[in-house]
Parts: sequence; C-alpha cells; structure tokens
Amino acid sequence: MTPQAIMNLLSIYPEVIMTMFGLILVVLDVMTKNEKKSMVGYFGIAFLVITVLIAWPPVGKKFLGFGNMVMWDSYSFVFFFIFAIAYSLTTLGSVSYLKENGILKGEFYTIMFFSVVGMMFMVSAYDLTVFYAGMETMAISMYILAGFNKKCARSSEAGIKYFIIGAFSSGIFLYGLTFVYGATGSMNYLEIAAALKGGAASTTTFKFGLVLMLAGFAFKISAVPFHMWAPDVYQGAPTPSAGFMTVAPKAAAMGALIRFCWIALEPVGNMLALFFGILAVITMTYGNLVALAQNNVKRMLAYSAIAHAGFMLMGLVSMNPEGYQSVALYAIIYAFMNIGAFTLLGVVKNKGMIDDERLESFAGLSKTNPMYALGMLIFMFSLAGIPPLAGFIGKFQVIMATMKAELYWLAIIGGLNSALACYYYMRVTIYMYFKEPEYEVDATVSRSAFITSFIGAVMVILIGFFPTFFVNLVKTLLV
Amino acid sequence: MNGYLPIVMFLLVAGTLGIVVMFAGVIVRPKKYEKVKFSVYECGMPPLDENRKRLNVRFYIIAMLFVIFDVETVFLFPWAVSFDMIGLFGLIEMILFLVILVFGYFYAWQKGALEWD
Repeated sequence: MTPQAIMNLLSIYPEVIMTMFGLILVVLDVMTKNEKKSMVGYFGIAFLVITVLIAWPPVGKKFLGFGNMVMWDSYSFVFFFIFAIAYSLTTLGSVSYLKENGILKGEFYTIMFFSVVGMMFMVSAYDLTVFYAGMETMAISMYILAGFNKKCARSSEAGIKYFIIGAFSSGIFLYGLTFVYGATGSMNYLEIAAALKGGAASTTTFKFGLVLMLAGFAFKISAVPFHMWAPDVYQGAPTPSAGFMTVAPKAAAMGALIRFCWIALEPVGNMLALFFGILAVITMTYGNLVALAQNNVKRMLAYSAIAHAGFMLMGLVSMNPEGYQSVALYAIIYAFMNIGAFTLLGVVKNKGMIDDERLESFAGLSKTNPMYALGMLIFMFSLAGIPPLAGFIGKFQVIMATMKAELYWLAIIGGLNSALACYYYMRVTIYMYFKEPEYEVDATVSRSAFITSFIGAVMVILIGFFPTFFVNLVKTLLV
Repeated sequence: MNGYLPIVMFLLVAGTLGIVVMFAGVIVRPKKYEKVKFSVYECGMPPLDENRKRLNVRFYIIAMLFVIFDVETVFLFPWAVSFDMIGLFGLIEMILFLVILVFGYFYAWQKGALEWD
C-alpha cells in the first residue's frame, strides 16, 4: 500500500462502508417476511449509527484522494450526519404509514439508504464528475420514493413529474458543465479556481456555462423560478418520503453548492453574491406568499419547504464561514422539525369525505388528542421561528451571517419573511386549539411515529434552549 | 475559436446538400400511387395483425437484467486483456465489482424476476 493508495481509501471509506451495508440491506430485504419489512429499516438505522461512529469527525484533517476528486473532512461529516438524522427519523416515522397504505416494502428503506450514499458523494465531491454521479444516485432514488405508492394516482404522478423535471434539470446542468469545462479546461474544483484566477472568469463561455449550472442547482433545491415541480411532488409523494425529500436532498444540494462556490468559484465570489441574493429573496417571498393561500397542510408544508430553501440560500450569499456554518445548522434543525411535522401529518386519518391533510381535519384536535396537538404545535412554532424553539436559532444564525457580510437589505427581507411565515403555521395551531371539531378524525400516533416526533420535539426544544452548545459544535466541525 | 470554422462550413455544406437532394427527389421522381405502397411494411410479408400490441412487462425486466450483465462483460473484456499489467490490485477490484453484481443478481432471483410464470 503506497501512501497515495491509503489516502485514496481514507477519502472514500465512509461511502465504501455505506455501500457494503446497503448491499447487506438488499439481501436482508429478500430474507425477511412480508409483515416484517420494517426490520430492514431498523437495520438501516443500526448501520448508519455504526458508520457515523466509524467515520467520527476528522476535525482538522483532510483526506483528499483519487487525484483530488473526493474529499472526506469534517464538513462532509456534518452533512453525512444530517442525512443520517433524516434517514433515521423518516424510517421510524414511516413504518405505520406504509403499513396502513399497504406499501410496507423493504425497497423503501434500501433505496433511501442508497440515496444517502449518493448524497455523501455529492457533498464530498471535489470534482464535477463525482458530484454529478452522486447527484444522479440521489435523484433516481428520490424519483422512486416519490412514486412509491404506485396504486395512488397522485403518487405516481409525483414520481413521473419529478423524474421528467429531474432529467430536464440534469440536462441543463450538464450542458452548463460542458461550457465551464470548455472555458476552464478542467472539472476539478481546484483547477477550475486556478483557471478562473488565470483570467477564464471574464469569458462569455464561462459565464454562460455557470448560469446554466446554477440553474441546475436551483432546480434541485427548488429555488423559485425553478420550483414548479416541488409542490406537486411533495404533495403527491407518500408523506414520510415527502418529509425525507424536503430535508435530505435539499441539504445535500446546499452542501455541494457551498463547496462548489467556496472552492471552485472563490475567485468570482463577489459576482455570485447578488445572484444568490436575488434568488433567495424571490424564493422565500414566493414560497411564503403562496403558502398563505393553501388549505391543504401538506401542500402548505411543500411551499414552506420552498421558503426554507430560500432562507438557506441566504446563508450562501454572505460568502463567509458564518454563512455556511449557519446553513449546516439550519439544515440540522430543519431535519428535526420538518420530518417531525411530516410524521405527525401522516398520522391524521379523516373519516369524513375530505382529504386527510385538509386544514379542517385539524379542527379541535387539542380536545380529542392533546398530545398530538402539542407535538404539532411545537413543530409549527419551530418552523415559524418563534423564539424559544430551534427554528428561531437557525433563522437567527443565518440573518447574523448576512448582517456580518453587511447585506442589510437581505437581512431585513429575511426578517420580514419569517414574520409572514408565522401566519400560515399559526393557522394550523389555531385550527387545532380554537376551533370545534368538524369531522371525525383519527389521529392515533403509533409507537414508532411517536418516537420520531418525540425525538424531533425534544431536539427542537433542546437546540432552542441551549443554542450555544450546538452552534459551537457546528463551528468547531466546520472551521 | 478560429479552428472551428472548417467544421461549421462542413456542417453547412452537409445540411444544405441533404435538403437540396431531398427536394430534388420530390420534384424529379415519377409519382405512381398504388394501394400496396401505403400498406404497413413488415419485412416484405403481408402484415399479420396490429403492430401496437401491448407487451408483457416481463420483457422489460429481462431486458434490464440483460443490459446489467451485458455491461458486466463489457467491463470484463478490457480487464482480461490488460490483466498482466494491473496484477493483484486489478484482480481484487474486479472481484469487488463482481461481488456487488452478485448481490444484485441474488436480489433479482429472490424477487422472482427470473421466473416467467
């Protein structure tokens, strides 16, 4: 083993371990009986915990292997940790939902597991080819998860729609990539940065390619004007996978985008700030304004996911270490609160004639099911960014980073937007606490879904009350 | 970008030539319409039935499995040819690759993708 070979192995060993565990999951899936497919998911959680422990953060160390193509450092670890949280919470929360809908299949957990591998490659990529391969692994898994309930027309529609839009956006991204490659002569982040310093930044070829590439990124994080797939897909997909899809792929795309901007586009960083600033402003304003008008809570959460993507983009605009630390923290908090909210949403069963997720289903739930209403209240308050809860800490950190970069206009618009967002989150709690029940609604939380929402709520409260610890943790990991 | 001018010229000439020849054919060729000319062409035989039949979804699964294991052989050939140059490292890598595919094969087998009925 030459030092180079050891370095190569070190740079991808978490992904290698994850892939091996994924293969074991595939075998476990065919070995378990039909009623016990949730075992596959529980094994997936165990495997993730093992991998997280093995890949314990290499603080300050950087393993760059395969000819500067893949990087494993604490930054990659933080994002891997976010995916692990998203996977574990979704798995626990999904069991009863999938069972009730007759789609409890081992593939749900296996495919989600492999999508985590793809996301890890996206974030740890130092080369656009590796990034693209990871992105496709993630995206193809997501198409399947969106269309997982194939007997339900809406879910199939979501899958097909996501697939077509995803293929389209990949095409745009690749087209832009060819131009960037043409202008800089390399796919490697470091070499792109070197070429940009050497004067490639002012060529039209590069600018054109960069715009197309960033449009491809914007599709993946559902930033407005490239958001039109998001509400339909999130609404149509089975509720647990919608929870996963709003958190993990978004965090992965943000993580990869930050790394790409931070390393490859570092010489043209100032040029990008305005671009991302405008994108962030339209994204969150549009997401919040349209969410105001929704009567379906699932669709409302889909639009709110767009708004949150805009908020995360704000952290990118500031182009300072605080910016991306705040994005990572935001993604962690968002994972806890959003998957918790989606898990609780999947529990509601309306016995009347309207959709389960309609706002009217939530009327008077505080009287029939006080624990459920309390959990939903915590998640809604946190998503809205009400002070003692975690959502506020995330928003606060992002706005602080923006202030530090002296982008006051952006910080003000961000603050106004989070005030705007309060209305539609509060509407759910108002329906739960101040309205009389209209329909007969069953909101019995199964044990596994209870664990998910309990962990989510506890973490939301903990991060909210003891922010310093978590903020410092993220800071030490992402120096 | 100067080196690309011949390629642009070539594309233009090729495109123009194609269009000119096509329209020349429309103008010059004799026009004789017969009933047989408009019938569906099926390898020279008279057509047996509809050609928009529904195909069984199993064909797609078999085709997909075929593609996967076909790609495996595509990778095996260059590996076998250059085996004496890459040595033990190459052998281990190829074994890993095959093991991953065997997992997939096992999955497809257990799920009944290889059974026809």
